[in-house]
Amino acid sequence: MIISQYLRHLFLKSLFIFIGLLIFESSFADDFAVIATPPRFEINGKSGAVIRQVIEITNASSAPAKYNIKTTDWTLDANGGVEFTDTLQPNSCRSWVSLERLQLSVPSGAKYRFRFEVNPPTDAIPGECRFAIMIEGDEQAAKTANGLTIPYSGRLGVIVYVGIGEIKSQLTVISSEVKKVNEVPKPFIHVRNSGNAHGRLTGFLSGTDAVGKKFEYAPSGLPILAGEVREISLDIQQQTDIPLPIIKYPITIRGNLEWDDKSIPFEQEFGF
Amino acid sequence: MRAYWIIILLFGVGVSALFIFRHKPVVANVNVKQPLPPIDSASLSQNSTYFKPNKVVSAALNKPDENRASSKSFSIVSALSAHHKSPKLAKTSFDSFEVNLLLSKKLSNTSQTILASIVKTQGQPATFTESYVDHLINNGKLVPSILFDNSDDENYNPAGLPHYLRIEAVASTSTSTGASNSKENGFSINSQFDTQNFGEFSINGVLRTEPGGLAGSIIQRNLRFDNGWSANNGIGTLYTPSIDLARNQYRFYIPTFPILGATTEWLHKGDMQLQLSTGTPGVFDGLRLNGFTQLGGSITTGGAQWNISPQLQVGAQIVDAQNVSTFSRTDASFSQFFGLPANFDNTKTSGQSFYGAAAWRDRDTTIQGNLLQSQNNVGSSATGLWIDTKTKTGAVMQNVGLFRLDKNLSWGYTPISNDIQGAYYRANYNSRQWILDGGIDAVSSLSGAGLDGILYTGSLRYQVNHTLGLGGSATYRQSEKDAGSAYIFTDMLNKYGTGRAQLDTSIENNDQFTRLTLSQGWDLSTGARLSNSVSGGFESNAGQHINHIGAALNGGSDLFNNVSWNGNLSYDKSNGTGFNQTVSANIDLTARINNHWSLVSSYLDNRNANANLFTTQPLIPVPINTFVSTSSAFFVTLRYEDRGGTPTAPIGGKMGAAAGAISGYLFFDENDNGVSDANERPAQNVTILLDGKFSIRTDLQGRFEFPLVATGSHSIIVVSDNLPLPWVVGDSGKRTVNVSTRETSNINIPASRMR
Repeated sequence: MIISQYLRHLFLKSLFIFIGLLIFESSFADDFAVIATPPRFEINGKSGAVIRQVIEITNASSAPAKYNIKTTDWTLDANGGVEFTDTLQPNSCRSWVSLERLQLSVPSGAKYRFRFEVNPPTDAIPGECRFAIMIEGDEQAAKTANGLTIPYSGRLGVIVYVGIGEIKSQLTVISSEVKKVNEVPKPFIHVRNSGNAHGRLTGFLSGTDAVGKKFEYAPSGLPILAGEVREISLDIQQQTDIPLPIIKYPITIRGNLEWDDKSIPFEQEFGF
Repeated sequence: MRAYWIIILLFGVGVSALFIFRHKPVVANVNVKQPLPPIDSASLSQNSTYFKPNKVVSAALNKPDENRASSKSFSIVSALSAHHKSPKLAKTSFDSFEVNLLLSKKLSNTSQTILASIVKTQGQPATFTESYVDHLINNGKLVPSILFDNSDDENYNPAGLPHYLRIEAVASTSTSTGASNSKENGFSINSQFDTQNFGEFSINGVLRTEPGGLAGSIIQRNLRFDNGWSANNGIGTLYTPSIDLARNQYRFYIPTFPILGATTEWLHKGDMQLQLSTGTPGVFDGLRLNGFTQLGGSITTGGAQWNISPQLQVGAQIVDAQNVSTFSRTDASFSQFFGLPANFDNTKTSGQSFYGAAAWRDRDTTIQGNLLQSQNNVGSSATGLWIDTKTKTGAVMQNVGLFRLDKNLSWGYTPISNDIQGAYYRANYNSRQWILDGGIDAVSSLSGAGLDGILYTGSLRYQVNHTLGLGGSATYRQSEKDAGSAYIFTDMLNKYGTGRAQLDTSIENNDQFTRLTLSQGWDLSTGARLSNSVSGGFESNAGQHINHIGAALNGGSDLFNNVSWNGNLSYDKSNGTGFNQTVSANIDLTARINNHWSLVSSYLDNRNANANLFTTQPLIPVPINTFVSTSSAFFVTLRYEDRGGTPTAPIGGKMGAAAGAISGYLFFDENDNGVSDANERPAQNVTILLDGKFSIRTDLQGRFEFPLVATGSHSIIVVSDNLPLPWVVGDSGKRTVNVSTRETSNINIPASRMR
């Protein structure tokens, strides 16, 4: 019963989003065209010292635009997608954050240097907090074929990590598996971050499949937030314009997994 | 059952509140292990800031090992979390309630208070009635900082199709004492506009009062016709066109010509390319204001390419030059190298050339055969034949070629590589961790008067880990005078940016040069960039021992509202005789006055040439000093810009398509490492093509930008025509750039010395 309710809810939600996309697709892209640079901040500071940063917001649309700016919190879903939320979350820095203003007017093609500050108090505990700065377009009105007017607005989130004092991520591979993605088997590892800062895996891995064929692998660069366990795919490294090779499992992948200034040896057989 | 849970809930609230206020427990694990910022209770009440506690508990429950210290005070919140996680429990136990919690803890000297307000009604999840209110810097009264345009919104006129106008007035002073004077005064105009039925127009013009000069062009692109034909036309001072097969060269270079004349190009659905141009040849000059000096005579070119299938292409080009005065070559070795008569410089050259090519290509293999025949009034007729092949197998790319180019081979009035025959082989392996490249190039002179030799090249780079890379390169020339050069380097990511140490050495006969360079690119805040380098070395040249020291700086940033700077500085000092100091400076200061007007101040200073490294490349012309000036100059440019209209689509996309931007930097990659180091100069005034259609020129800082480009894959082509010899951009100058929605794709393009 619970599962069927959940599936029904999921279906209705998906249907609504799909219809919404059909209605808004063309006009949305035309009206809300913003370039934010950089797309992500990973900044470090110390308690009691103000951190000042700038986002360059370019109005890439053909007309002047007004934007609403605010902070939000965010979480990562299982697939690494970001979910923004207005309500304060654990590890949020928002109460330390001051924005330049809450509304902007940017002429077409112009670049607005939007300033924000993070002001950690003098007794802030070393660690990492995070938030996002949302750039939202003015509410627009889309008319459906039957004359129904539906308001909508586009938005863009800039992720900010703030490290205070000595922070570091501590990543450990706790398990592995092979899962099918689009009907193609793919190796995954589960990584725990027991540190107090987010980490991103990198590294150079070499895989040898059941018939001795060699492939170059690298872990996906999804952030692994402090305290969480995240599923990280190991991706074949090759040019995107050629089809993925066929791999005969089991495959043994070995090399070094790296993050920050750390490196750990890795060797794992992935069977399927 | 429902009443039972409510009683537990109320009891839990009461117990927890007592426990909290008596023992001041840690509110949540996030306060202990994670730096949850303190929330001031006063601001909570003033700003109606609310906290969502069940999320906190969810987080705590997800970290069982880390929350042992959480107190019993959390039991009630844990129960709420259970509701959140268990729909069944929620349905049966918490159909309707409202709970307000005030949790407080003294952390050091700061009071930390969390106000939680949960409202739950039947059949609905818990909701929170108000959201966080952001703090403002200086009460939101900071002066806005808008670059490029600080007009109010009403000034933009969206009527009509996109149009752009830029007019510049340039004044300068120069302290030059040599023959090369950088002084330029005058005006320039650049206008681009779309038309509904006649494609896109570009109008450029320069009126230079000192030194005198006049140049300008009107270019029309994408004039469309029925049956899939389109045309590009131009009149004024521009370059002759060249078919794709002629541009797509790996080993040899077929030049195009600056002319005062007219060009036309007709394209049919990507399978046919027809070109014609005629005019008086000349040379472009100038820094800020491009003038055009006619060489006299005339030149006519024609070309056609037929893409018979996606795999097979054939094409041909002809050029006819009549009575062209070639400009003076002061370097006698230039004539010697090409086997030209000593009076070549003063001869009015007439010549006709034919180029034909056929190419077959699939995804991994390209084979292109080329034939070039020429005759001119300076030497006899000549024939050139060469074949280039490229194969790609996984991460390995191989290039193999054979060539035979008769003495006196020329293209129009310009001599090209000639009096050589030989073969080359080059292999490249490219992975994330390894880059290996090796090649051998064997050349002999057909007449016996030129150089015979074999050139060996090899380079490797190994990425030890994601922060450390090691590598090196070596070149050895085996010929009449053997010579070699090599360098080793290490790249390292550090907490401040990226550092590099490189040791160069070259040796020829008893002469040698060794130099150590340390450079660092600094990670700065958005909008700012800075890199610097220091170097030291010694040179043994004709029995003379010379020590060198040098430093370089490259950077740019917004200084304050609407004022920014970009520039590079380099300094090299030696204790040798003659020129012993080299100074190169190129600094721009740009002030935006309002949405139309801006003022640009530029300081250029190029004194003396860099110390000459020995060339170990026998297959290229003797290096020509690539400095455009040996003087210092100060330019002031007053610029007026106006733009308006509504584009029908972003570049390369449909109306309303998602778009991003492309910005890039073209530089002379002295050490061939693919990275812009501080002591490497920008390549100015080079034409960049987007998707083969939209052109722009690099500015004095070597930068270019296409601000609105459709999302997806695009090609960027560097037109090497106005790169000084021997510099070229590899892969025929072509790069592929992926543009993501609302993001700027940055691309650094190195120009390397022709191998």
